[in-house]
Amino acid sequence: MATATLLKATTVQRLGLEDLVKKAHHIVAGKVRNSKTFWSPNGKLILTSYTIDVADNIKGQLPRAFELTTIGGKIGDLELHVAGMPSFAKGEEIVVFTEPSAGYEVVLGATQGKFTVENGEVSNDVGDLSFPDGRPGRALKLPVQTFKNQIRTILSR
Amino acid sequence: MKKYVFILVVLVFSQTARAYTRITATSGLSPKWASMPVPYWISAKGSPQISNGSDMAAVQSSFRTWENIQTASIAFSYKGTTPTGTVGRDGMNVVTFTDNSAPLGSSTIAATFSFFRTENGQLVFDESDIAFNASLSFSTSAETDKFDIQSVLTHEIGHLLGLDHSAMVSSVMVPFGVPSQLDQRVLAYDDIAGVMEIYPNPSMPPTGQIRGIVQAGTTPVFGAHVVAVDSGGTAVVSTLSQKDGSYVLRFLPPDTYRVFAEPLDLPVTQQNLGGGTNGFYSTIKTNFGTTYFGNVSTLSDATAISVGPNDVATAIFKRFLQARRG
Repeated sequence: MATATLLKATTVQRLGLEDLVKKAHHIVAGKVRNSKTFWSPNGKLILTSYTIDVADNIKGQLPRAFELTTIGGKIGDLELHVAGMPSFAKGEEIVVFTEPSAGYEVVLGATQGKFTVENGEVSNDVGDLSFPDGRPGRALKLPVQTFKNQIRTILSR
Repeated sequence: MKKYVFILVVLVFSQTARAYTRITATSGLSPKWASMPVPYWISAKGSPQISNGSDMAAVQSSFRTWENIQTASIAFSYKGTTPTGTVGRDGMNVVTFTDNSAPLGSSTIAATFSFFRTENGQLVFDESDIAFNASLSFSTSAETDKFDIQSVLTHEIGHLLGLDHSAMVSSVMVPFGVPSQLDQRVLAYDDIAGVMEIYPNPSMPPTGQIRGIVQAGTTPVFGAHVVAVDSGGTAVVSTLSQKDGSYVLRFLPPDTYRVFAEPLDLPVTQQNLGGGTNGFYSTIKTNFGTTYFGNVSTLSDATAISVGPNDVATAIFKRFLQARRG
């Protein structure tokens, strides 16, 4: 628990909202029901899968509940951490941009593609990420309805 | 581009050189390797787009860059290539360009996978692998729009050693670089000071310290960026004040220094350090103006502090100038 937010940076491509919308296979609003941490089938990585209850399929069509997987977690005394891998809390309300990767549904663009809904606003977190385009990371924060409208406007083009 | 940003920042803020920062858990524990040398292997396939062996050389150069720091005890042991192209726990610290087993997603350029555990009350690295995105193009010769292997890897190895992002624009550990530029191959003194703290070399030449507290009246200021500027006007070492307002500027070569405290607002902010909105540095204070020791607004007016070998000087900030507006 003490190391839950330990960091090492991951270098990623910068994804603005337009990039996120275009690159995502699915965009959903939903709520985190529970999670499980396990060793990958090859026994080398600790992964954590979250069950997401979908409230709104904004892009694509995911089932009412689906598994979203991230790298990292703690099993016994051993913890794996890859910076920029989003983590979720049980009951957390989210808007999330996803894509398939190595047989799992994952968050697009690391933490860039995970937005927490709180007090009517969505926000993401880019603190663990390094950007190779000469500019520092910038988190997004705006009212949730404005956010959804912007996504739908981009999708309708 | 990066140089341009740096020049602009210097013009606007007059002194903006930033801090090395150690990776810090919410508990306050920071990880390190328990022993040296740290062995590493390179996946035998190397970078698929490069066939002249320069990819392997670039990887080794990146590790040597950190190893060559005379004032820190860092040693890596190159164990050669390995057929292993996947990341994950297998007893080897591997650099790979061909992993497709880890669900990193399409936008990741490079990532460090670190296993760690607690040992005798210390957080220690158990194993660490670094993966480059198998579908992106990398270069070793500054080709346009390709990511320079040595620059990206030198940054990632800084994390592998326990450094978090730095806010010093000229450092390797700054959280942004530019494709095809090579300047992140070269460490800044700020990067070096960071690993001198984690892996001290007992035989290094004696240096001094400036310690103090940053507080507004009696209230501690958390996350103030405190910078030491040497007699030549170069910002040498910086750090962030802790939750109790205390700070220590370590590894200062004997000289006369001026010190200032500034808010961590731009170009690097708390979003780029320590876990963003949920991390250790998420509650730092930025509602004050840059203030030089002596409660003045310019370097030339600041109180000079003489630091000799093994000296511990003190600079306490109790009042701040108002933050800029507009």
